[in-house]
Amino acid sequence: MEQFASHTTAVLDRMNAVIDGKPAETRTALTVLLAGGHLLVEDVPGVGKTMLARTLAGAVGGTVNRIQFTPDLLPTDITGVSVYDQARREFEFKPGPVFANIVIGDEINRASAKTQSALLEAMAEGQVTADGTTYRLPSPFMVVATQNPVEMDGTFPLPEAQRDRFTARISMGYPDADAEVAMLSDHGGGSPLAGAAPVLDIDQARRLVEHVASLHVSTAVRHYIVALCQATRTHPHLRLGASPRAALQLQATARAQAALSGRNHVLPDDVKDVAVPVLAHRLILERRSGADSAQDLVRGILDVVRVPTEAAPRTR
Amino acid sequence: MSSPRTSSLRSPWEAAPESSDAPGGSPARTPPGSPVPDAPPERAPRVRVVELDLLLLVGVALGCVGMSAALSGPWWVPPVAATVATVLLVTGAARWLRLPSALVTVLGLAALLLALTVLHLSGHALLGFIPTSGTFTAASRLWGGSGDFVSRDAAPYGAHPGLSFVLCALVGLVTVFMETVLVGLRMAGLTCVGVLALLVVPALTLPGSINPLGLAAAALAALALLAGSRAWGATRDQRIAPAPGGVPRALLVVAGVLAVVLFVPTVMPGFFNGAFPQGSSFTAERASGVGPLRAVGQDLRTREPARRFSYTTSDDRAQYMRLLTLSDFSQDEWFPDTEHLDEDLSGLGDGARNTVPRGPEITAKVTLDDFTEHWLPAPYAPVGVAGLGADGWGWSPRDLSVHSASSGMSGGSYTVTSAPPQATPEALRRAPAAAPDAAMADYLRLPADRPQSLADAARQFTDGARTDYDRALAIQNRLRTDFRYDVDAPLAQGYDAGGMAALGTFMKTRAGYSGHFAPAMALMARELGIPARVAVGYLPTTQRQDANGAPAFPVGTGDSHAWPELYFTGVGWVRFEPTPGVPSTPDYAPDTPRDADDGASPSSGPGESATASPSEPPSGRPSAPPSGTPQNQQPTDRPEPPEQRPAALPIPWWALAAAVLVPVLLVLLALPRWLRGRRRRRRLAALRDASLTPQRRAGAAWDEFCALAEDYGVTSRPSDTPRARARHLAAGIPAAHPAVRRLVADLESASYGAPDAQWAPSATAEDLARVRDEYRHRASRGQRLRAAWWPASLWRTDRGTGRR
Repeated sequence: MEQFASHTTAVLDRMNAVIDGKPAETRTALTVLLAGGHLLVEDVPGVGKTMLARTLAGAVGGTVNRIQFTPDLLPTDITGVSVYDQARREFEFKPGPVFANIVIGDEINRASAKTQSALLEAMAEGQVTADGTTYRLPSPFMVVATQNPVEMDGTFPLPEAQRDRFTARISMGYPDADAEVAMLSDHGGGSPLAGAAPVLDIDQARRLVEHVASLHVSTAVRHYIVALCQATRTHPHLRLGASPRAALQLQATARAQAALSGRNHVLPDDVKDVAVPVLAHRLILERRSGADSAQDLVRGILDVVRVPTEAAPRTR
Repeated sequence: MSSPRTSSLRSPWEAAPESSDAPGGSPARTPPGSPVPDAPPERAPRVRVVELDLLLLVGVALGCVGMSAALSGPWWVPPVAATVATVLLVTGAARWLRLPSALVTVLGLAALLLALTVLHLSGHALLGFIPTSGTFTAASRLWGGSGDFVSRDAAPYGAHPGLSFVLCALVGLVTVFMETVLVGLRMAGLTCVGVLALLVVPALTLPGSINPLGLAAAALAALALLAGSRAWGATRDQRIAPAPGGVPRALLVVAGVLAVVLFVPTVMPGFFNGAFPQGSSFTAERASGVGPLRAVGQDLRTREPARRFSYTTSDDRAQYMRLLTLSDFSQDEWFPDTEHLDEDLSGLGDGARNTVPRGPEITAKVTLDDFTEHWLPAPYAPVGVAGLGADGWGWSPRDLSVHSASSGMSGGSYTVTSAPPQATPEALRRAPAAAPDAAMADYLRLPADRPQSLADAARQFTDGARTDYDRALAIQNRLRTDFRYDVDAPLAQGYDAGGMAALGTFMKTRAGYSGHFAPAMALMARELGIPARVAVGYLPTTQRQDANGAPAFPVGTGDSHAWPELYFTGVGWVRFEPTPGVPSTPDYAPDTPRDADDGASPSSGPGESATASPSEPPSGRPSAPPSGTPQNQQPTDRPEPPEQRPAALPIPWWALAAAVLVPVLLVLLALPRWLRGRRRRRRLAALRDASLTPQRRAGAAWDEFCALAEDYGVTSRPSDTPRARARHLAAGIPAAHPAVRRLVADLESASYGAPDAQWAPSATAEDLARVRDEYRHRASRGQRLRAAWWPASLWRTDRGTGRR
């Protein structure tokens, strides 16, 4: 696909113009979009989580819906409700905010578990079932959920198993001084998103995703992905390792990473590049392991697992 | 990985099915009960280790056949077999466990040490098998003892602990070498060097050990090793597989080799009789039971010359210092007569003067140094001895030798007065034939078992000579010209001086030393009716300053000599000099030029001037005036003939060990470099081989790149991706980055890219050469040396792939 590079570069340029000093995060966000996955942004308020999601959505020209999760939010507030149309004497489905190309779930941990799970089902299956009728969600469909790790009162933190549905978790972090100064000047006169036209239309975005899914992944790289996941399962400091779904999503994300690098095959380097955001949030540390963080553990595993240069010998 | 070619790039061990179903192998290839044909390939190597070890056992056993000729009886077989079996058991077990090859060799040496300790030195080891420093002291004692034993005794050798130790050590070392080369390195051809070592080492150590049987067995051993190594896959190249029709062809080869081995030595002169340096003895320490003539040979061969005594004479001329005479040649070992001694030394002078008319007397003052003989050195014929102790002395009225009952004469000194016989050619020629009286009967007696060749030669040599003197002269000069001086060959071929059999061999080989020439001439003279005996003593020597600065004639082991004395009526006992190379022929018996063999015939003219031909060297002229310089000329000339004192082959045990170990060490030293080169060539071949999968081709080049980096001390983690690795490994060699980029691109496209039938590597052997040059260019001298001779990459394999 010839325009892949130009299209993705345009999207990244747009995002980096709005989000100052966070090229890695914007790139990961795009990678997740291209991989057909969902993104969990976990950080303190005010570092641009929502801005990142809005910028990405605005750049690809898709529909964007934002759901502010609160404790009293009901599942139907997300999926939509059937309303009785008295004129036509039948129930009519009013689609909820989840029917959009990019759904921003703000402070997802503030909603009750029931409400969270409504969103998570939509994420997993790409469809919503209401009153016996299944409604397909638009494509591409991406959920960008944010979560505040500091303010814990009255929250319902996502269970680790639920986090597994998110392809990657990133943390925005504070911008450095220069970036923050640039932000002050850029954002001084209102929203930088105002008036900016999308660089792609949604069909182009869909083709980008389809192209990524077609990339070649060699047996050696698959072995590497599996070896990484297996290493998390046997790691002494980990109570829960990466699931097979994690392996699938790691492969998809590595594909997107390879495509962004302009290749039509996946290298172990691509896997390494995305392994930390894709794997870290799924792992449960042993309580007294003394390990610093899941990210460090994943990095340690990356430093240990041998990179195969050929397919493993065929077993007789 | 599924390509059949890949197996040829791996160790041949893993290619078992290829060779096991190849046609034409010997029937022994699949022993009964062996699971080779059906066994999974993983099990094949272990089975083959057993077979190769059995092959080695056969090879070593055949190689040892050559030693059996030099050893009497099978006494040496159990210890040697136990040693070899121990070594092979340990190394075989180590191979079975697939330990590293170098470790197997070390274990083999350790097993050899253990076997030697248990078998020979258990009394000197901790718990009977743990070697201590005392063990090594005892081992060196044993080694030295074997040297004494070999030099003292003649082959074949009986049981002796020292010799057994040496044999076990040598055969064990050779076994370790052969095991390393055959099983470890799979170099069957080089293994035959081990068989050669088995043949050569005893040949240098033990006389007479090279015989046709031994040669044939060694050749068979070499053939068996070559054939077995092919049959069981111990070859480096799988193309050298057993060919069809192998058995008839092998038999033909065996027959041809045997024919050559058995034929060549019989045709090649000197192979069995002298040119081959067999049996050079370790030492020449004299032992009791050795006859005086053999003692002369031992003195001449000794590597540690010792000064026996020194003397001064009244006329400043060097003298033949006579010890004793031999006249009874009936036994295998000839000894002087010590039964008819007169204990009254004062009778010596009368005895001497009564025998024959005498001329002027000379006085010799003798100082004994390291002298352990029972006989007193004195110029012939002694008329008086002064300065000796009172007791234990005796003199022989028959030959005027002086004997001491004790041998502790070292450090003593005495003065001896002698009256040399005044012999001239005229007087000798005038002398009538010896009267057949009883006094001379002993000197005319011929042993019954004397070789006929002696009599034949005597008659042939003296054909045409009219008088006894002319005959004697002819014999002397023919012996000097037609025979060859060699002090080592007789020992090597088992005809060291003493006994008629030895003399018969001497007449055939025509090589020996004075211990052969003197009795040969004496017996020839007896054949012709001239009374004769053999005198043993010392040659005249060169005058030197002694410790006090006074001129004296030092006499050492190298001056030992034997000469015949012939009796002429009216003149007495007259010395002749038949040993070639000894220039001091008597004035009355001049040497003749080589081109005038029959010049000694009486027809050459009357008078002494005729026999002393003008071509005579001045030293031999009878008219030499008794002034200082010419007197000493005779001894001075002595070292001139090159063949008179051939350099004895001093082969101490450490030199032997070095001769075996140094080549082995050199091979071992060069081994890593060679293995590394082989690996590199294989990888480059794989890179070029279009029939291989892209993964193998690119992987081979990539592996070589990583190995190069490792050789020069740059390493990376296996968890690095190829890109990261290349970045890291090539950080120091920016000039080679394009080449490295091509290598990485090849590897990535081959390993991770979509399958591509048109794939071809972009990197070439030149890229790898460039990388290597860059590394070498940037490395220190030490790193370069290490990379070449001890490449680090050799000791590492990539786990998981098994690829090297």
